[in-house]
Amino acid sequence: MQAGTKLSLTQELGSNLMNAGQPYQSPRQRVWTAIRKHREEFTIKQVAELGQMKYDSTRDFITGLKKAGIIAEVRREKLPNMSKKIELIYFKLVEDYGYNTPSVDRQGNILGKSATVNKAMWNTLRITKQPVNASELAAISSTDEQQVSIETADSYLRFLHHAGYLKIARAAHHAVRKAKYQLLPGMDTGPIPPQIQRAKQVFDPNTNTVMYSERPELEEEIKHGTLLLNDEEINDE
Amino acid sequence: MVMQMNADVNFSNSSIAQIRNISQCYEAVKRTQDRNILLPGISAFYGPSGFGKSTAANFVATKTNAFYVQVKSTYTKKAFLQALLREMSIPYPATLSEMMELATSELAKSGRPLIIDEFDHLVQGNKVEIIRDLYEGSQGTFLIIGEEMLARKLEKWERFHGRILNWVPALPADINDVTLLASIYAPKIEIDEPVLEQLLAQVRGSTRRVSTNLEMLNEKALEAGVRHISKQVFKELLPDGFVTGESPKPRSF
Repeated sequence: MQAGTKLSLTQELGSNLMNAGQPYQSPRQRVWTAIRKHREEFTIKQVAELGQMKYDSTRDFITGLKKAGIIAEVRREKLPNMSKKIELIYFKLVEDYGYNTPSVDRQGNILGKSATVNKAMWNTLRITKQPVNASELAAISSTDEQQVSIETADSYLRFLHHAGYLKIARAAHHAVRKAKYQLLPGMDTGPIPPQIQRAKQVFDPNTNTVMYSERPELEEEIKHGTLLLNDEEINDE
Repeated sequence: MVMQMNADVNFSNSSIAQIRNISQCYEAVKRTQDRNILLPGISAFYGPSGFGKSTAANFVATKTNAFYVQVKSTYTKKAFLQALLREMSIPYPATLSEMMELATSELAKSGRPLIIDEFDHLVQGNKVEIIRDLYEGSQGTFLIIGEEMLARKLEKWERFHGRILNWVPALPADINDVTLLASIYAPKIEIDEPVLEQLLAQVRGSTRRVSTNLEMLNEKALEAGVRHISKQVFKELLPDGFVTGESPKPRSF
């Protein structure tokens, strides 16, 4: 719950940093960009600072990349005034995956190369642009490898409609037809599907005010990034 | 058993992967991806509007995790490259050549295919060359989609034309497609084959018209409380027949 308190402190800062209309760059993405920039030789500390990611998180990421064969160790260097066991390791980039960071776990398994269920539905809405109801969206977004359930499609359509992405192309009619939704022309915001988050908030009926709202999109930033910390906190890390 | 029942309730059991334009479009891209390195890497998918080209593109985009760009008639070279970089989630640099370099290297390194829909707009505006440059630089897998006349229009661009590995004509819907589409657009009713055949004959291959007619029939049937559509029931429900989208015949007075 420590993250929670930090969250409220950083909420305002977070909204400035993260709502700039540019795609959100996760700490891993920023470190990956730093790695590509210094592909010949880099250290963990160096890319952690450049990518504004916590050192421990960066080390985990680097471990995964190394096990996946995406980066490799180049050399080690003894540090002056330190125990002989401590060495500075230099890495280099071996396999460039392009601008977007490959997703690896600590064991070096490369994950998520195929489109997710949300991405499949978002693709259907923005590529075909046709009005769809929930069962049509489910059918058109399913492939032989990945099925989209009607229930999932239904809730995705409802939430995107609430959020202002879709218009109702044809209203539902009792027992005869389900509502058809269509993506609004200006709301094709980009390739990454909007996410439906489950956030909690604290509401005080006495004062009729929302006292605190979770910001799940900041979770990764708080856990792994240093973007939202001030200098003192960074030195503590 | 429980799993089985859940699957029946939550998933539509038809698979659009079997619709023939979707399967042949996907096969073409797959073939291009697995090609011999010496062969060219562009597939062209063309046909009249309403034949389900964008639905096929959508399937391929999801299945191969491709980048998808739909060209607009107003696109300049710069606007096209910006749209492509946006599709790649890459913030775009200032100059055209920097954009070109970034997009090319992303295509090469990510290994993801690129789908360009409404390609005709690029032919009209003499912008085919930038696609050729993107292709030459990345040696990626490209799928370009356009109207029926795309092949003819591209003949002018000999150097581009030569890089096309597969020409894939969008096929008119067949009876299998109609049956599959019926399970998506008219899921709650059962339609006799002669009715589906009549529909197929009247829409002249357009998947879009097959779908809209099936939807209309589904609604009418449910309103009337019928679940089974024979030829006789069909005549009662839709006395004017299916909507064919033909323009009216000239009148005589």
